Amino acid sequence: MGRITIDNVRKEYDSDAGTIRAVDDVSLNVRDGEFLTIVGPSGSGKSTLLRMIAGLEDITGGEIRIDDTVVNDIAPQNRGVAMVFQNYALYPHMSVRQNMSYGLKLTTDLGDDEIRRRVEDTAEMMGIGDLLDKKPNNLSGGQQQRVATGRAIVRQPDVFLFDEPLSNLDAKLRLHMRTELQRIQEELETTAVYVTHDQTEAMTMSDRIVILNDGTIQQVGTPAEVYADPVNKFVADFIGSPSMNFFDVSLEEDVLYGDDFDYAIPSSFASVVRENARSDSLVLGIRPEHITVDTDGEDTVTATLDVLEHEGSDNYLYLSKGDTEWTVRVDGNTRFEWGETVEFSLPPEHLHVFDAETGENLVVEEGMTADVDSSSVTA
Amino acid sequence: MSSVEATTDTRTVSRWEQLFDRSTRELLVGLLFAAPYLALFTVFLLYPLLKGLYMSLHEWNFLEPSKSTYVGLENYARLLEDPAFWNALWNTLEFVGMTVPLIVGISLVLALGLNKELKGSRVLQFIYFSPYVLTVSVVGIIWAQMFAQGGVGTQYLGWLFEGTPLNSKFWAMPAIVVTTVWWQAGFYFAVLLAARQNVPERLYEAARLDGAGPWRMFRDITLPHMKNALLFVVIASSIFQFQVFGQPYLMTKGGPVGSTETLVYYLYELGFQTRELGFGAAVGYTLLVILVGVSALNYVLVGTNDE
Repeated sequence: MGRITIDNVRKEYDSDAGTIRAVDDVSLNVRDGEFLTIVGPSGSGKSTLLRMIAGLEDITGGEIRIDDTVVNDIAPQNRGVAMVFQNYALYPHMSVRQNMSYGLKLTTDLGDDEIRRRVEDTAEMMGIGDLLDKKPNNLSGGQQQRVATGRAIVRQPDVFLFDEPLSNLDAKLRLHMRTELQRIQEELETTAVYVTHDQTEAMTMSDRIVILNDGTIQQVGTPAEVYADPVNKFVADFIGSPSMNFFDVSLEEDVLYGDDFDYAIPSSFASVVRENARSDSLVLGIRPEHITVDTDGEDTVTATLDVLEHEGSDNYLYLSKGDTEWTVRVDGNTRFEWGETVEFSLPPEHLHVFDAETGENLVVEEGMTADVDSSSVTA
Repeated sequence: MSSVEATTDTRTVSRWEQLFDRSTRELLVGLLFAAPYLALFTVFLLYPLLKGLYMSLHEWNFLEPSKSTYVGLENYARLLEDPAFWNALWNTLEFVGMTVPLIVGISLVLALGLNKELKGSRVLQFIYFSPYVLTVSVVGIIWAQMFAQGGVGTQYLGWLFEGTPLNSKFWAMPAIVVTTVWWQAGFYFAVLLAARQNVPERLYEAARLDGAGPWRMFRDITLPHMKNALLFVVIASSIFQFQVFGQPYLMTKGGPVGSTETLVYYLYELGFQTRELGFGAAVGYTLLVILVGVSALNYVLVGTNDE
C-alpha cells in the first residue's frame, strides 16, 4: 500500500526579508500504485513538497498521511518511503553492495543472507550485478543513477520519491532511464512521486501530473488533460514544447481583435467566453501544432515567414506580422520559402481564451477543470 | 642529434635546439624553474642537515671547528647513558601524549559543534581561532601570569598544589599542556571545520532515510570524509609538539627539577650553554629519527589510500 494524502500543507521559512511561503496550502491525493509527477519551474516548491513527504523538512501547517497514518512527526526512516536524490547521494566510502544494504541493515532485522539475496536480486534487475564491489566514484553517471535507484528499490518501500533523478544525465541516457524507471515502477506497482522541472519527463512518464507554481497547485490531471485543457495560462505555457502562442485580444461581436490580426470565431464559442469573462482584456492561446496552414477555415490569418526550422519529421515556421509573432508546426514535407506570406487558420476546438488578469482559462469544459477535489477520488 | 638532421634548410634551428635534444631541453628548463627553491633548500636545509650529521660524529670544537676530532658513534652511545637525555625524552613524550589527543579531541568537538549555522557560530569560530595568531612569547607570558602567584589559574586551582602550578614538579607539565592546547587548538579546529563543511549534506539526508542515527552518521559518513584531515591534524600537531621549546623556556626554564625539560630545550642547553655541539647534534638527529618514525606510524595506522 502507498496512498499519500496531503491536506492543506504549508511550508514557511524565515529569512531576512520576512517569511517565505515555499508551499502554500497544498492539498493532493496520490493513489496507491500511481506514478505522480510534480512539475514546475525552479522555486515553485516542488522539491520542498517532496522533502516534506520524505520527512526531510518540517511541515509548517497541515497534515500528510501515508495510508492512514499521519506522518508529520514520524521520522523519515519510519515512513516507508525511499528516495532517489538528484546527485544520487551515494555513500562514497562504501561499495555498491554496502550502499544498497545500508538501509536494510539499519531498519530491518533481516539476516545477512537475506539482505545479500535481496541486494543481488535488485542489482540484477537494475543491470548493475557486476558492479556490486565497486565504489561509486568508479562508476559512470548512468551507473550511479542505477545504484541510487537500486538502493531505493531494495528497501521495498510503500512509496518511491524521486527528486529530479535524471537531470544529471546526458540527453540520450536520460531518455533511456526514463523508460527504465517507468518499467520498474510498473513492475513493482509501488506508488511513485516524481519531481522534475522538465515538462517532457512529466508528460511521458506520469499517470497524473501536478503543476506547481509559487507554492500553489495550478492543476492536477493526466498528461492528456493538462495538455488539452489547461486551467490557466501558466499551465498552458508550461506544458508543451515549443510552448503555446499567446496574443492579447479583445472580443467584439464574434470577432477576436488582436494588435495585428482579427479572427472570427463561432458564436457559440464567443458566448462561452463572454459568459465567463470578467473583463475585456483577454489572451488568445493556441498551440503551434494546432494551427493549420490552409484556407479551408471560416477565417484565416496571414503572416510572413521569418525563420524555418527543420526538425526531421516536423518543420517549425516562425511567422510575424507587425509585432505579432506566431510559431506554427507543419509536416516535415511541406516546403516554404523565406519571406513567403503564409495563410493559416485557427481551429476553434483548439482555441484557448484566458482572462488577461487572472490567467484563468475561460473556455475549459466543465468537469475538465481537474480541480484538487476531483483528484481525491482514489483508484 | 637526429633533430638537427631532420630540420635542414627550410627553417632555422636555434643554437639552443642544436645543442640539446627535446627531452634534455625540457629537463634543463624544468631545473631552471626549480632552481630558486633548490638553492634555498640546499643552503638552509640540506647543508645544515648534512653538517649536523657530520657534527654528531665528532667531538666538536666550538672555537676551532678544524680541531674537531672524529669519534664515530660515541656521541650516540653517550646519549643512551645520559639520564638528562632520557628525562628530556620522557618529558617530551609526556607532553606530546597529553597535548595531541587533547588538541585533536577538542578541535574535532568544536568543529562538529560549530558546523551548524547557529546564531553566533561565526563569532565563536573567530574566538576559538584567535589565540593561534599570537606568538609563543605572548602566549607564554600570558599563561605564566595566569599560573603565577595570585594569577587567575592559580586562584581557582590553588587547592590542587602548593604554591603555583609552575613550581610544582607534578603540575608544571600539565600547565604547559593547557597553555599549548589553548594556543594551538584553534588552528586545527579551523582545518577540521573546513573538512566537515565539505561533507555533502545530501549524504546525511540519504542516511536519515536509511535509518541512521547520529552515531551511525558520524561513524559512516562524517568520519570517513574527515579521515584525511584528521590524519593531517594528528601528524602535523605531533611533529610540531615534539619540538616544543618556547613554552618551557618562557614559563619554567625546564624546571622545576628538570620536570619540563624537553628534547629541544635540552638541545638548546647543550648548544648555547654548555657548547657541546657534537653531542647536541646527536640529540637533534635522534629527534629527527623519532619524528620520521611517528609520521610513518601514523600513515600506517590510519592509512592514506582514499578510494
